[in-house]
Amino acid sequence: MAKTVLAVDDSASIRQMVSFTLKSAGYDVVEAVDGLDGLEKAKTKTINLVLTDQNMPRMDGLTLIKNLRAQPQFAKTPILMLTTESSDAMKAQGRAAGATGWLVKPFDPQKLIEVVKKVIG
Amino acid sequence: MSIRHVAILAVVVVSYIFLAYLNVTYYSALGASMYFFGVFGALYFWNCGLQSSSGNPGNYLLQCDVDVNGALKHCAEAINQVSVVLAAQLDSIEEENIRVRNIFSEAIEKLIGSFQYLAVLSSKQNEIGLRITARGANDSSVRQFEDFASKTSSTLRQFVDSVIENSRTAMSLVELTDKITTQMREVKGMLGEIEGISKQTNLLALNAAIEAARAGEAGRGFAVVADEVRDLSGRTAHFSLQIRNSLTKMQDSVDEAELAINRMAAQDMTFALTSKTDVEHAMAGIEAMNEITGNAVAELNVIAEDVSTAVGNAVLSLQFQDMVTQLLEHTGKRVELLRAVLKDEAEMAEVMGKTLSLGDTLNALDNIQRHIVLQAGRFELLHRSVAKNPVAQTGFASGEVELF
Repeated sequence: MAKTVLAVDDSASIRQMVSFTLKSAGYDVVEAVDGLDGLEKAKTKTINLVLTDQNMPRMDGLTLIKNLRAQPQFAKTPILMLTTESSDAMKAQGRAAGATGWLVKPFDPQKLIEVVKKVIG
Repeated sequence: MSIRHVAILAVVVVSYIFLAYLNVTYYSALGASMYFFGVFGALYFWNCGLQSSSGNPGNYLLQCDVDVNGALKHCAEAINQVSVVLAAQLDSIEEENIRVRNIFSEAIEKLIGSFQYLAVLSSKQNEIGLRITARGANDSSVRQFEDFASKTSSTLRQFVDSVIENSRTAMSLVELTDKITTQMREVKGMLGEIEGISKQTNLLALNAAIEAARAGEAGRGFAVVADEVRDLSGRTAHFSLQIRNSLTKMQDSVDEAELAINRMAAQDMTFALTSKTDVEHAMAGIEAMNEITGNAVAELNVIAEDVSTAVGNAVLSLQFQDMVTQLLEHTGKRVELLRAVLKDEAEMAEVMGKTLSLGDTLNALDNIQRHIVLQAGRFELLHRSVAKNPVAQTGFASGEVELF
């Protein structure tokens, strides 16, 4: 059974590209337009990996991570940040919030697949 | 601090604010006009004198060659005009910003769709190539045909070889029949000798019979012997004739056999050779076709890989839309802050425009001074609030990956 990735990004094009890239590698992808939508979508399906942007309307990526980590079923789910933010301070915040890794945009489709495979197989 | 000092300070601060404005926005024409306005104000207040009318502190008379209230109103009007122009420009910036984002978004969405479709087509092309290759190697119908052609070729080769071998055998048989014919001729020759002996024996027997008859009673026994000899001679002639007849029949049979053998040996092998050549050509054609197909598939696979790489690069590059959108949103925040500043400027202008008495004028100038200081602080805040740009990237190399 294919593993499911929750892709959270307010940019439709990024969601489209992430979705296409991961689907072509055999993953199921659930898309969410921001952190709040991500929280809702996370309830609908078993999520094996969360891939989230940082700067989004309504709820940003770090808040989403904190909210997810507060739920027992997401305590150990890998969460990767995929964002244009690349400062060490932001990365430290992400790490503190419970992020598993940090990917800086723009992403290389092949590299993204490699990282996702490494994290969830 | 004298009112002149306040005014000069105000001008300096206004100049500072608009210089900051120049840095914050990139609309240098607007910034320059605001700066010009500030300098103009400084020159205006510099030309005015300030005196105490009654010696009471705080009761000042502003002496100037123009009316102070009128000048303040002019300033207010000028500020209002600039504010209106700036607000309109900010509206345009915001509207254009939104349009750019929408155009980008729509165009990139379509581009991504196109590239993804390209990737799907490339993938299908690759699959077709692999299917063709697999079919060439594993497809049972193709393999069966190749087997059939191969066996046909082998059978035809055996057939031709067999015909050639038969031909050789026939030649040997013809030689043998020729030998048999020669030997039969020899036998016939020998039969002639036997017939001659038989005739002579018959003649001898006849002579013996005559002599026996002449001898009378004494020759009776001899006459019996002579008869027997004559009979033997007759039987010999008869057997000789039978043998000759048999030999003649044998000769006829041998002749017929030779004819048959010759016909067999002369049988036309062209059709077999032609068929064999055709089958070999067909086999060579199939092999050539397989090679061409294999090469074409290999090329298609290379193209598919290239397309896949190109699509990957396109996906990487198209993410500029997200970065540009975020940068534009950031610019939008700057515009929002500037709009708030302009709103305050308009309120200040309104206060300036309402000033009537000297006391009010002084209060207004004091307010203006405080307002300018406040605005300077706001610009500082603006600087700080938008200093953190969410997009640090300046190029399109793929971003770093870090797993915690």
